[in-house]
Amino acid sequence: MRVVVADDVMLVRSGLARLLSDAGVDVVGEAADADDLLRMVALDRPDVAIVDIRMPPTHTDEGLVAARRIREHYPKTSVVLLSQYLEPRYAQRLLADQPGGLGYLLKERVSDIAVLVDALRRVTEGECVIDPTIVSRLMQRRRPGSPLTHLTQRERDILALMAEGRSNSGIAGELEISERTVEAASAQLFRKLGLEPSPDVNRRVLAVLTLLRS
Amino acid sequence: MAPKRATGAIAASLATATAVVTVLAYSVALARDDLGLGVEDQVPAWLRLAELAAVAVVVAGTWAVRVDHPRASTGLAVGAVGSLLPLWAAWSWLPGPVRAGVLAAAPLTVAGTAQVALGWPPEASATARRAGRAVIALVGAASLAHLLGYNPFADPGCARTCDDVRPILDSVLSTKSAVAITCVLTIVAAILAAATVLRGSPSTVPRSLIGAVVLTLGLLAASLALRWARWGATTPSVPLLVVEPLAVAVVGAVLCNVGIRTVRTRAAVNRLGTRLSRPETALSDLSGAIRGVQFAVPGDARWVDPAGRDVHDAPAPGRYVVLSDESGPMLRLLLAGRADQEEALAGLTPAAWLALRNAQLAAVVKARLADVHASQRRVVAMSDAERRRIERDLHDGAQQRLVSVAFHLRVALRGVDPATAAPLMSTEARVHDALARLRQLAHGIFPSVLASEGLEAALDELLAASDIPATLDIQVGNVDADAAMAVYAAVAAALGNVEHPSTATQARISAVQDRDTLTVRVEVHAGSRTTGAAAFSEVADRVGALGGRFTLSSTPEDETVVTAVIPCAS
Repeated sequence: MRVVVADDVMLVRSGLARLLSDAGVDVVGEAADADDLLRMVALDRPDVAIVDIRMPPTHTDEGLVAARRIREHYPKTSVVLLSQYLEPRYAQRLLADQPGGLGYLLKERVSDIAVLVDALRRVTEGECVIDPTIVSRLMQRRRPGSPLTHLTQRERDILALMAEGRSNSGIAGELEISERTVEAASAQLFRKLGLEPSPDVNRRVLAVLTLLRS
Repeated sequence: MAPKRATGAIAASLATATAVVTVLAYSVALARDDLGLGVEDQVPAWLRLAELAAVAVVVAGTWAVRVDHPRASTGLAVGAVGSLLPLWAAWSWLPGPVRAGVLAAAPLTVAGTAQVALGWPPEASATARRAGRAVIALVGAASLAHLLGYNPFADPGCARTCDDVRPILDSVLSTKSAVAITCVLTIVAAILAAATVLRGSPSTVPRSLIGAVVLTLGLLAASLALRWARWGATTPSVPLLVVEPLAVAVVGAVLCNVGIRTVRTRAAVNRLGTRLSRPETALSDLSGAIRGVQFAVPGDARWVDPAGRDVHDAPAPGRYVVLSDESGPMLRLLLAGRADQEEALAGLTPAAWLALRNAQLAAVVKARLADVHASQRRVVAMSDAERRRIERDLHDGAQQRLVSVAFHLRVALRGVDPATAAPLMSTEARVHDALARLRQLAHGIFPSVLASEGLEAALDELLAASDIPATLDIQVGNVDADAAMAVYAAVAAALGNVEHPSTATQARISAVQDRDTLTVRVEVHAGSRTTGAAAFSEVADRVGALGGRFTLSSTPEDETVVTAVIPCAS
C-alpha cells in the first residue's frame, strides 16, 4: 500500500512515516502543507493520503479542504484525516457529502499502528472509519426528531462499531454475540433508518452518515 | 435685576399714561372743536388713524420688553413722551406758557430712541456710554434753548398755538435763534447717536432694531431740518405734524416683535423642559425655536444626546446656545434658524432650568453606563483573545510534541526485549493520559469550535461532551461572537454546575433569537445538589457587558433555571 503523510510538524510527520514503514506500509512522500500534499498526490497517485486537518498558513481547516479536493480529483486515493481535536463537526462536514473512502482519527490514537493500518485498509475498500471517541460523542447526542432516538441500545452499539469501521465479525466479537445476531440487528437498524436494501458496504456507510447528520 | 425691572414697568406706565391722556384729550378737543387754530382739521382722517395706531404700537413696545430690556423700554417711553407732548400745544384750554413749553419736549424723542439701541444688554462699551451721555447733554441743551427762547407768536409756521408767550430769554435770544439752536443741537445729537449705534453696537443687538433706530433718528433729523428750512412759511406742513409719533412707532414695532419672539422662545424652552421629563421619543418632534438639546459630560470634552449617545457633529456656529453652571458647560440648546441665542437664554425659567439639569444628569448617567459596558466588553474580549491564544499554543505546541513523543516511543518499542518494553509501555500510557487531559484542558480554556463552526455546533459539542441528558432547541441566526460566547458560557456554566451528574439529572436548553434580543434559558433538573451560584458570576459579567440581563433561580424541586437575555443586532 502506497501512502503520503501530510503534517506541518516535522517530528510528528517523521515519527508517523517511521511507524508506517516499520509496519510494512510504503510511504512515498511527506508533505509539510496542503500545496505540497496536492502536488505529491498528483504525482505519485498514492492509495491513501494521511492528512493533518490543521496546517499552515491559517491552521484551521486547510487539511479538510485538501482532502475534499483529493476525493474530487483523484477518487482512487482515499484519505485518512488526523486531528488533535475532538470535533465531530469536522468529520461531519467532510463525510456528509461522500463518506466512502474517508477516515477520521484522533492523532494520538495512531501511535497504535495496528489501528491506523486497519483504518488504511478499510478506507481503500471504500468504507469510512471514524474514531471511537468521536463516535461515542455522536451517539450521545439527543436532538429531538432524530431517527436515532428509535434505536434500541443493541442497535446503537452496533451502529457505533460500524462507524468505527468494524466488520460484522469484529462487531460480533466486541459485543460477544453471534455474527448472525449482528446481521439480523443490522437489518433492523437499516430499516429503522429508512435505508433500502443495497450492497452492504453502501448501506453501512449510509447508516454512519445518518449518525453524522443527526 | 429687580430695580431695573421696576424701571421698565414705571417707564411703560408713564408712556401709557401720556398716550392715554394725549389721545383722550385730543379726541375731546376735536369733538368740541376746541383746537387752537383749526389747522389740525387739515390732517386727513387716515393719517390721524395711522397716528393712533402708531401710539398703540409704541405703548405695546414699551410693555413688550419692560422685563427683559428695561433700559430699552425706558428709552422708548421717553421717545413716546417726547413725540406726544408737543401735541398738547393745540389745546386752547391749557395755559399759554404750558402750551409753549410742551413744544420743547420734541428733542427728547432723539435721546429716547438712541437709548433703545445703546442701552441694549449686555452693557454697552465705554465709547457708547460716552456717546449716550453726549446725546443726552445735546438734547437737554436743545430742549432748554427751546423752552427759554421760543415764543410761538414769533414763529410764522407755528401751527398749534399762537399765544404771545414771552420766554425768559426773550430779550437776549430771538425765537428764530432759539429754533435754530434747537434744530442744530438735535440734528447733531441724532447724527451722533445714529453713528454710535451703527458702529458700536454689540452683536447681541438685533439687526432689525439697529435699522429701526437709525431710520427713526434719520426721520427725526430730517423733520427738524425741514422745520428750519421752512422758517417763515405760514402754511403748516402736515407731514411735520405727525412724523414724530410715526417714526417712534417704527422702533416700537421692532420691540413688539422682539417681545413676541421672546415669549415664543420661552414657550419653546418650557416645552423642552416638559418633554424632557417624558420618554425620549417625545423629543423627536420638537418644533418652534428649540430644535433639540445636547448635554455636556463633566470632565470629558464631549457631548451626548438625551439617550446618552455620543454626538459627533458639532452644530453650526450661531445655531446653538451653551448653558453653563459654576462647573462649566452643562448643555447646549439647538436653535431653529431664526431663533436668537440671547432670547433662548432669557426664556429659561427656573423650572425649565431644573428640568434641563435633571435631563443632563440622566443623560450623563446613561453615557457613563455605556462607557462602563464598553470597557467591560473590552475586558471580556481581551480575556477571550488571551484564552484563545493559550488554547492554540496548547494544541499546536505542547500537544503536538506529546503526540510525537508517543510516536517515537512506539518506534522505540519495536524489537526491544520484554524487560525493557514494560517501563516504555507504562510511559506510553502516561503520555496518552497526559494528551487526554491536555485536550480537556484546552477545550475548557476556549471552545475553538465556537469561532470556527458557530453557536449551534458549539452547543452540540458541549451537550455531547456532557454527561447530562439534554434537549436543545435552538433558533438563532447570525449573532456576533461576543453574544455567542455569552450564550455558550451560560449553558456551559449551567451544565457544569451539577456536582454529580446522575440518571436523575436532565436539562432543557433553549436559545431563541427574536429580532433584537437573544434569549437563552437552561433548566437543569438535578438529582444531586448543585455547586451554587459562584460559578455563574463570570456568565453574569459577560451578559452584563453586552447590556443584557442574567437571572439564576432555583426551585425546591432541585431545578435550577438560568436565563440570559442578550441584546443583539441581527
